[in-house]
Amino acid sequence: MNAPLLACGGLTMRFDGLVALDGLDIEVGKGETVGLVGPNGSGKTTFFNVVTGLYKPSAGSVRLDARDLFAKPPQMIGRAGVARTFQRSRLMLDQSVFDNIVVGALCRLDLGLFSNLFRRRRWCDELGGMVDRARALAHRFNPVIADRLFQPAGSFTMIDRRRIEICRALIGAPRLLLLDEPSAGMTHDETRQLMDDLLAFRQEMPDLAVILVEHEMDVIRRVSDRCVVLNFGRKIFEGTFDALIANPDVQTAYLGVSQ
Amino acid sequence: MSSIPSPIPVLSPLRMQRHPRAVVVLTVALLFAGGGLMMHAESQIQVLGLLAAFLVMFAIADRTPLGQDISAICGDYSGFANGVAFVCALGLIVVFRGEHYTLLMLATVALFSTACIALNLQLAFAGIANFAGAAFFVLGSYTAAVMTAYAGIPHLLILVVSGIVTGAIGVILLLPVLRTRGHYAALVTIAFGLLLRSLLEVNDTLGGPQGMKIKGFSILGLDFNRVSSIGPWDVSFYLPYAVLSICIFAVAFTLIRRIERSWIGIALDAVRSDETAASVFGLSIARWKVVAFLIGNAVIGVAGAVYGMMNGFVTPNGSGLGDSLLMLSIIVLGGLGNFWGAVVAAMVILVIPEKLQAIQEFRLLIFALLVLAILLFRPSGILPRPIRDLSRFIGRPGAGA
Amino acid sequence: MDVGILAQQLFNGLMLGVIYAMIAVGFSLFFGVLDVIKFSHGDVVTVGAFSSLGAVGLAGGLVALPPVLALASGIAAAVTIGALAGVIIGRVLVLPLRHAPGVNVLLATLMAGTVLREAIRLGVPNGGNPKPFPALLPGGVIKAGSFSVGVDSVMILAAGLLLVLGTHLLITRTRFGLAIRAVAQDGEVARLSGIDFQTVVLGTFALGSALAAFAGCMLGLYYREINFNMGVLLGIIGFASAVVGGLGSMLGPIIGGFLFAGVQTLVVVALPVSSAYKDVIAFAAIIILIAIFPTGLIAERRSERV
Ligand SMILES: Nc1ncnc2c1ncn2[C@@H]1O[C@H](COP(=O)(O)OP(=O)(O)OP(=O)(O)O)[C@@H](O)[C@H]1O
Ligand SMILES: [Mg+2]
Repeated sequence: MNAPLLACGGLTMRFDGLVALDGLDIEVGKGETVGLVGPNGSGKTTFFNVVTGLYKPSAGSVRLDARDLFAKPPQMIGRAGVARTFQRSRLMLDQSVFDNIVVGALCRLDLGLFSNLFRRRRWCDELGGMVDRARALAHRFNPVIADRLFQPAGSFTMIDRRRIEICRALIGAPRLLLLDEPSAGMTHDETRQLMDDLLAFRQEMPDLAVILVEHEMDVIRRVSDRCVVLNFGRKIFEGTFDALIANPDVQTAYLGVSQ
Repeated sequence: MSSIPSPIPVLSPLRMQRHPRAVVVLTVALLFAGGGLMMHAESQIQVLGLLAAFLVMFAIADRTPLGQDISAICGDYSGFANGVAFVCALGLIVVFRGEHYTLLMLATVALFSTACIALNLQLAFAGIANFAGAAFFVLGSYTAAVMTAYAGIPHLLILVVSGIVTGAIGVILLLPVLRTRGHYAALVTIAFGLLLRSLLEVNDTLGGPQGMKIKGFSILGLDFNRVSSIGPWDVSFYLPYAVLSICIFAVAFTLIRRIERSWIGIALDAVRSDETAASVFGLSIARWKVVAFLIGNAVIGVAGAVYGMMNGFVTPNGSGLGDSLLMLSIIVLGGLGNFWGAVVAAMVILVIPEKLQAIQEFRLLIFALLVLAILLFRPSGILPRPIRDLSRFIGRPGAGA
Repeated sequence: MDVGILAQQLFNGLMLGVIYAMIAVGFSLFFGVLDVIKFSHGDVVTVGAFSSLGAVGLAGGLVALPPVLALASGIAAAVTIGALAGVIIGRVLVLPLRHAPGVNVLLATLMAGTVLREAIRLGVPNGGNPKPFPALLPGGVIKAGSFSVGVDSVMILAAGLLLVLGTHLLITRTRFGLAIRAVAQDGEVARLSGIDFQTVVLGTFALGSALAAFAGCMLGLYYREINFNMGVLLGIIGFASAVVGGLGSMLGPIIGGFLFAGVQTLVVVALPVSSAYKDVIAFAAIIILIAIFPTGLIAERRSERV
């Protein structure tokens, strides 16, 4: 693997006494999909929050393509090309689906006061382009969403809301995508469908790196090139899925037996 | 669209759909006629009758399929409806050309509505609770008072400068407002309003408690205060002020509506509803709050300047917490984020107590109770904010609509 | 400067501090249990003052009461009606709006304050004007050099300090206090462990409001004059003290109250422009303090979970 896209070294995050991340080293290459697993409370979401700048880590380093993103403000990290979904869905339920999705690309659009207010024709053209993109994206995950692009996000089911969140994360053409339990609450078939859609999308964006947090091992097996297992904020395993299954440390971690 | 046949054949859904613009024109004209009568009404019976008529109309619009159809059509043709509204407002001015009091009221409603739209930009879009709206309004008047004292400054320029000055004074509050959230930010603006008021009262440079006189507006040699006739008609000198106020309202309305329906509007909504998510997607919370706060205050300042010039004087009295609360009541009552709702609520709050002497003394009490009722039972206000439907701006109709 | 005048100012400052602290504690308690700011709290102070005035007047009109009993009836009325007002606002407005956007609660409680204020202005005969408050405490003056202070003032100050201390003990030492702290810590967990959430919340409102109403009574006794809109300023200063000291904590608002009074007194003593600018400076201080400590001196510790 040549220079990794995301390189985290010695990441440590403490909440008062609790060490949620403990000297974590994780690297992700361009176009790679890493499955991040671990028991509840092992620090997976915290890792995402640290990478996206929502939590200020206590120590360590975060680099995206050699650019230092350690403890930088979230908006800077977002603009650098990191997008994510949230474990607990965070959408603007009163706004339309389109508004929600386009938020993911806003920082790449022309946000100047003058051009938004007075170059309306140009703005309408830009809008047309974004609506097409949002619709195409939504169509991949569920055609119904594409058909109801201008209805409130709150009128959709939880599962569709998760799909909308994924569209929001993808529309800005990120370089690194962090998915935090995207299939939570979905049935087995829905999960499969979602993963198929994601895999199909990945075909078109070969450089996109993905870190996927997922409890369903089936999903992890299908989509990830490499797996990382966390326990108590520490990396206890890294390797292929098959090696993961066979690893005794992982088994004890999941069975809750203390080492 | 409902398929229930209308009892009134002219208003059958099919016909309405075929002539949507006619529906819009009739509806808007009817509403403005009612509003005009309300401002003009003199006897208590008339006022109460009109009030009852409005309540019935509102109930129809809100609850019956027919009313909902009409509302929907007006919503679909909102640009057209706004144009019609502008013409109707000018029409009211022509009709009441000689009535001082009616025109004063009309201009007052227009200017307060302008300020309230600006407050909507701050609160409904950006989520900044500005409890010093009246203070910024009065600041606009004071700026006009100071500047009109110097002859030779074009008055249109004074309006612009009033906006800039109020916006700039708002800058003082930026740091605390940006660093805090919710109640803390509210405290900052409340403290600012009270500070300004006590400062104006104890310090004599700006006239102390008596306030200042303000010269009337004049443009291109036309002194508004001396207008007494146009062509063959005798008119009130409030007529040009009413026209100016409505133009100011129209400009502010268009400006802020465009902000709402642009990337900026979406950014503001994102920042308001979830700062965490907005920042993850690269939006700068501070930038958008600054934009909304400063533009909002500037617009309030311009409205205040015109109001001051129309009245001819300004005192610290209008800048208190009570008046700021009244402005916020207007936007909550009207429906956060709904501009026409603010106009309706401004009518309710500004005009009705003037007309019903019986309640004048109790106005604050009644409004406070009214706002409480709205907050408890209909938190989205009289006219809830419609969803932002950008599909109308793209070349083809929205899919699935 | 004359030591006597300095001591006089110090005494004034202490008195103000106690009153601010009594109001600020309520803000902090409400915020602790419900995460809301009850802006009507300042007007509960006014309600307290007017209730005691009414009770004293009423009782005095019926039978010639000795001052002690008149005072007792005044205090009882203030505390009961104040607590009642707090509970009603809590039950009717704050609890139902608990999950609404923060601004709605803010506006609702501000409006509730307006209702109280207007009700007093319109309901009390000639309520728009300042009202004289009877002297119910023993007269007499304590003198020390050029410093002199009324016995009544000392009693008021002592009562205030005792009450603040008492509330502190109530919160830290009693079962009720424990329940309040449990709810403040985590309402959900408290509910699961068998604490009656609503009762505790309303009890907290009663406690905080009774304290504020008592402060209103003290203000009347101290300044001998009350006014229908005295609560606006007191509410804002009380809130600011709570914010500066750290919302949700118990000690913070007390410190904040004294700090605020200290600053105000210091300004009056140090600056010749004097009392006219007292309020201007108080408000400027609020804005500056919040700019510097956006979440209070004793920072409100809260990292949002994502
Ligand atoms: N904001 C916070 N403040 C205090 N502790 C926190 C915070 N966020 C996370 N933690 C703690 O850090 C640890 C790791 O939590 P995290 O949410 O990262 O786990 P997770 O691996 O995502 O678990 P799950 O599978 O349940 O989502 C937990 O013990 C959690 O309680
Ligand atoms: Mg998690």
